[in-house]
Amino acid sequence: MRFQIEDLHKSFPQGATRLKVLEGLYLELAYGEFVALIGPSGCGKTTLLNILAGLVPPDAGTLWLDGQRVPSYQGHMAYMQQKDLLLPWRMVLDNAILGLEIQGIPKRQARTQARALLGRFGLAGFERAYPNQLSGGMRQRVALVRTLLLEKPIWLLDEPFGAIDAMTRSHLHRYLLQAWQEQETTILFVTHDIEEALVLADRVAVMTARPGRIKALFDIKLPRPRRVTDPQFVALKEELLELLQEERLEKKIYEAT
Amino acid sequence: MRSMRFVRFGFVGLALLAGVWVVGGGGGAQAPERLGVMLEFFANPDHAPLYIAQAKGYLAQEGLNVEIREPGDPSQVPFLVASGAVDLGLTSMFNHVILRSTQDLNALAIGALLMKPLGALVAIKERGIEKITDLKGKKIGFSVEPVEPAVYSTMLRAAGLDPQRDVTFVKLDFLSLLPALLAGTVDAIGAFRNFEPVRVELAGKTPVVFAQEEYGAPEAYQLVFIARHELLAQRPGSVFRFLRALSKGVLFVLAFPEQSKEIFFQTLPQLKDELNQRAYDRTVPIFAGAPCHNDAKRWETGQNFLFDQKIISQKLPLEELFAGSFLPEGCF
Amino acid sequence: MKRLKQLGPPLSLLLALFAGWEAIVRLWSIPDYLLPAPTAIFRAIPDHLELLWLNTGITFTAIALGFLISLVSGLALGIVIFYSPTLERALYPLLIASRNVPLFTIAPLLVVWLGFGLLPKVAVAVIIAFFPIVVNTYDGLRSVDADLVNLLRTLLASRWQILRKLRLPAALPFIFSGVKLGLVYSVLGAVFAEMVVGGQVWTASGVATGGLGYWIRNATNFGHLDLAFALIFWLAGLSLALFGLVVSLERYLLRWQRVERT
Repeated sequence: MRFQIEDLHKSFPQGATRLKVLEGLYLELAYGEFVALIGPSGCGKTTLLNILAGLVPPDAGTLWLDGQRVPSYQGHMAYMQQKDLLLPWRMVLDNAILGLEIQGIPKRQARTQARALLGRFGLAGFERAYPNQLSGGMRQRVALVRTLLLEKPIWLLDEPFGAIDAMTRSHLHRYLLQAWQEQETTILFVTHDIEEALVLADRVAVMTARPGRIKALFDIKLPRPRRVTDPQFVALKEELLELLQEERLEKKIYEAT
Repeated sequence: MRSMRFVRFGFVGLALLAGVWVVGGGGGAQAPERLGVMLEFFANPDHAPLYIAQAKGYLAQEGLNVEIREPGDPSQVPFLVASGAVDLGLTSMFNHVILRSTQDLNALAIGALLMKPLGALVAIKERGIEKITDLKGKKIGFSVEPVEPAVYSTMLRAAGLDPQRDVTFVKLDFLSLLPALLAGTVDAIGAFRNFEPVRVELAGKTPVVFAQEEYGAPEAYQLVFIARHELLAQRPGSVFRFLRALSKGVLFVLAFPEQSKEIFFQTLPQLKDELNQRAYDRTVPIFAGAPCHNDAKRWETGQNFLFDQKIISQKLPLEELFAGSFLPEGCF
Repeated sequence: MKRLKQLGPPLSLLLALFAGWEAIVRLWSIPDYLLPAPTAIFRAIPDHLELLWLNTGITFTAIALGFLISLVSGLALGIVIFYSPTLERALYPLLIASRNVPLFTIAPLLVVWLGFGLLPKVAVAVIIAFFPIVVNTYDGLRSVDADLVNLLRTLLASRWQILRKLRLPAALPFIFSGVKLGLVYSVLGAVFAEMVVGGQVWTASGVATGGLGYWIRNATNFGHLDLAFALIFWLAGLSLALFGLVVSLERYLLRWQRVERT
């Protein structure tokens, strides 16, 4: 499926005025594409995902799904956040099947599906553990399994590995890429980490500071698995870093005026 | 262990409803007729004739199915009678006159259960009190206002003491009166002459009892049955038959004190202890003459006393206090 | 083993209290009518087994009904006012007011309205036990992490599913604090009601007894302080047992709170 975001606007009341968060954002995600979205903090990345997920209505703008106008991508997407959002009273297995359960799939069947996937994500033997018995990386893997089990054509990932240490994170990147390739889904991956964006994405979209819109798009043609020491990788990283720093500077000037 | 069989009532409310229905509908003439009687306190030997009338079947012979009920809060009994929650209730003559006069309580006294006052000041001989004048400078515990202080003041005045200056009145919860006396917190208590002296004896001391009527306080009926006007208008026959059965209970108790005592404690096995058995013997003579409460002189003296003590501010015609028309023939 | 260890301190404290009590009563030869010794009190229990047994049934029925009604209506009302701000504004002041109902004043009225039997006892229990359950349910439902609610919304969960799969389980620790209070209040309310509205009823066919609360007062009145204290201890034991039951259920349902990191 092709997802298009056209001229999206969103502001929030702030005292007597309104704080403009998104202003004229355009973005397209092709079928099976992995797009990373980076930008300075507070540029409206999370707001964008919340709009796409149908949690927040936009002020203006149109979302297209295969040429059809839709109010949001609700029902077509899986949303995963930085917080693992596991239910502490459910054991791992039952956390993983939460989405399936809500769809009305019988528990037994859902559990069978989940067990296989948990095993592949290195969680075999932890099915009956409670979330607070797990490390952060393991918890995030459970959240990832919960997302994958939904088998949605689009995944909205909001800094899913933001709170994970570097070693664990590269493992999780491998898991994610593997799942993406198998399920042939489209991913919009929000991060503030340039390196993470370059390791994962087909394309990197850079957002401006608030009010946010897309400032630049980079095609990353490097073959996977990518190595951070690759000279091309390093060059891209520097270019992106410069763009972002420019944004940060501009934002400061913008806020000062 | 206990020989009495207990029966649980799941639907007391239903029984009550049925009672109300009978009253409201003027009585469908089904036998036996329900009649709810509320005591003024926990069941005790003061109520012996009622339990005898029940146990001997006198009430049943009169076509009555009487429910004897203990109150949760003694002070509420007259109001439960007036509101129709129970048919008959026990209260003191003084209390009845006060409520008639000050609150126009919807009730008339229909007969007495205890023919003399039980009120007395009780002290302990070992603490050096033998005459009422020995109470000078002492503390007197009581529990019911305003009648008790008025009665005791009258008694002290009759003995030549000044109740305001010579003694200190201490208001206590009823249940703590006797422990306070025994512990010496107070030197005398307002009490019932058939009970508390026995408890003093059981605690190994010698009780000293000053009976209220011997020191100038009126000789009031201690316990009278009251009924609301509607009930008297609608079911005069049941009230009359109730009192007739009760008078048989009284006669039985007076004629066969030992046998009646046996029956009483069989009916109320949990009461069978030294205290209640001794109290029973002391109570029997006080039933003599019940339920005839038609000595107008006593009502008049009682009402005058309350008026003089400024407890009531108006005197009612005596027929607004009690009705003699439901009493059995022997009373006239 | 762990449970036994937890029981150690309160049990030893209790034993020490009883020992001190016994010593005071014996050393100063305090008479029974002022303060019976623990040994006398415990002797009174086997002497009055039938009375205890019959009245425990009566009192327990009132407690259980009062508690269950409070539980069901408290949970339901907590949920309703959570979802309806209008009802919340309308009912909350009333709820607070119900907490301050002077029971001594309304107990006699309850007799006039509800008769003498089980109903007024249950009513008193409900009046005081209901409040903490409503408030804690409401607070618990509100305490849920908004991100979790959003997660369920993106999973296209219905309101009912959000309530059942998220809000209620998340509110459970709060609900249990309310339920435990509610249980204690149910016991208090039922026993208080037995003291102020209860009594025995005699008819030609037998007698209905008044419950444990009634007998505490009756025994006190007739100077049987040993029985009165025995009844109080018995009642304390009964409410501890009920409390233990609720705590066990809580520990089972909230077992996830106690697991340790592997």
